[in-house]
Amino acid sequence: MIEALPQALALLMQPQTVMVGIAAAMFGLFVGAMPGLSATMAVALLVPVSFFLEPVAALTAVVMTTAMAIFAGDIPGALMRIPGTPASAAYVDDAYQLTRQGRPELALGICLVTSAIGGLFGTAVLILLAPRLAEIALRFSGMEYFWLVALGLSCAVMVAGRDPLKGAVSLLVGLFIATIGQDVTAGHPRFTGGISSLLSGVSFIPAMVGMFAISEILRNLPTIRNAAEVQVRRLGSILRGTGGVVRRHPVNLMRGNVIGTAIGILPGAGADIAAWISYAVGKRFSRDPDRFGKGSEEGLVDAGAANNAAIAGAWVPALVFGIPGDSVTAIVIGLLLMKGIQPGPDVFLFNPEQIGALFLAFVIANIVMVPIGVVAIRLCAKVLLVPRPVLTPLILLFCMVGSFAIDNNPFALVVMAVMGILAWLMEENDVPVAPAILGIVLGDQFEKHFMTTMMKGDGSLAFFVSRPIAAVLAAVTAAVWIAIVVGLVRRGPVRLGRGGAPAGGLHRPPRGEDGGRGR
Amino acid sequence: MVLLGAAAAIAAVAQGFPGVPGQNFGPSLFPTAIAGGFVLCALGLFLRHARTGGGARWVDPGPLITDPRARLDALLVLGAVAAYLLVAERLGFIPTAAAILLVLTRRFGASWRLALATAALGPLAIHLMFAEWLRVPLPLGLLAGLRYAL
Repeated sequence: MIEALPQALALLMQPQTVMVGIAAAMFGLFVGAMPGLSATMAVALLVPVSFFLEPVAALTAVVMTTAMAIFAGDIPGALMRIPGTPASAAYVDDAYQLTRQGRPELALGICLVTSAIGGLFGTAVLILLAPRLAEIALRFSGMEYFWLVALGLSCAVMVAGRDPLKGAVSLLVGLFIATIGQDVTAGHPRFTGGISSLLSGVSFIPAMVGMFAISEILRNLPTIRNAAEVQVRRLGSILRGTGGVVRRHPVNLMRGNVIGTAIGILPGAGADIAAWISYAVGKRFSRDPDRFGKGSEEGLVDAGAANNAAIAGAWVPALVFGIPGDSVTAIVIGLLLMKGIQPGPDVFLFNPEQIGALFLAFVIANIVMVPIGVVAIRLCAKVLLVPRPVLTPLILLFCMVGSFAIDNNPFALVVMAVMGILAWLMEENDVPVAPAILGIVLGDQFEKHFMTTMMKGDGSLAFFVSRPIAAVLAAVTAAVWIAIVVGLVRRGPVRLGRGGAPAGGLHRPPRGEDGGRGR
Repeated sequence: MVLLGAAAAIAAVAQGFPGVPGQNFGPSLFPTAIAGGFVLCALGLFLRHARTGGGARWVDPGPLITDPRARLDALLVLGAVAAYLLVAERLGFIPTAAAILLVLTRRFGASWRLALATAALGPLAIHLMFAEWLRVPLPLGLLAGLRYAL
């Protein structure tokens, strides 16, 4: 890894990559700061463009965009009480209350600094953990991969929402979509309805653009005419006093880092869930939990670090096993596959300089975040004035062109629209979308590993646990499912904890009182 | 308050379910895998059904369907995609996109000046980015002559 560092740096410092990185940072800040546009949507919109870039430039763009977008989501949260991305929803009340108390600089400063520290911590874990895991993963055969994918999908069901049953439904929808097209072993067309464009399966990028961008456009339509009120007075020094607050709460910071990274690594849960859980844990262990929700600096430190730590954490399983840790990395895996890079332990062997460049990109993104963030906060008032009536149609057009651009097939627009409606319907009925995404991404591999192992074992199911690592993974998977079923049986019918969010669906409602369950 | 049924998903799964035996072609073992997947589906379906009972509503309509203005908005958005599919090949990307932008921005409440500016500049910018830089063959349509005359 170390010996690849100079090459990695050279790759990263190519003019194209630097330009793309800067542009992506701006793009991420803008999308993150716009309420109603999430970080995942930013990446989905980015993919059609990055499809035409070198792999390193494309990955840099994704890293820059997500890191900036997750931080920028805090800005409208603090100034307007509308989170820019779902990942900022957990602590929006605290940030806004600090602003009401006349300290918007402090709120934004804490968000910015903890975001950068959380991001760096997650990156450190990624750099240290991923190559070690990859060494282990090199010894895996199809059997182990089958169980690994099974475990990843199971975790996604467990953590993705309040109702694991709906998570399971979502997962099955995803797996079903993945079966569309010719099957992996015999080439028999399935569920294509005679449409030749579906023979090769549901095209991935249009599906992602539909599920993340179109569904968000649809969801935000009812509030599109509500003009955002920005009350920004002149801001003082952003970073003054921030260092003191962060130093006073080292435990919160560390806890946010660890929880965020861990949640990020778990498949199916990303920055938003990391922030919720970290916030809930912080509240439980706080000396004055009453201040949470009323301008608690502690809560900001906890959750602000967690959501950015989760971004990097999510890349660990994505790079090592090809199992996405969140919806952003799900898109990344699709992107890598299109570029002919199969994510998995081999990448660490054959493309060490690309991996190194990716790690460096993470480090740089989280460091430049502080100066760029300070500037962004000052410019933010203007950004937030871009009227949504203009922005929404432009995004729609961009989605259409982007979907079309991947393989120049107009049918992609149909896929995009259908998946958009599907994802919107699911979210509207509280079915989480993340497991479905995982199902779509992993469905093919899941089936392929299952089939090859079946063939090797001559159809014997006992063969699936005939190797020690496989048996362990199988046991863990079984344990996850037992936990899910036991949880379902004990809790009884699931009811909604708390209803609508202030901004009309801009962020998800909290996960009820049991938000910290399972920690 | 409301037990939200995942009706759409279940209906899709349930319809796929009887279709499985029809997949039993070919010498390979792949139908086993699909059957396995659908056994899981059936399991989820069964649990869900036992839990919700008969009383819960299957689909929660939400504001997009109940509010007539939002419903028209949604139809316009989807209509824009359909319209693009139908006429873009003939009219070309820029005129089609301009029309879509003009209609939608006006509909969403932007002023005429803003809407016209968006409709004029937006398609040009996107065309520049995708067609000229990234070499995506966006349909030129009516403007084909113009593009190659320059």
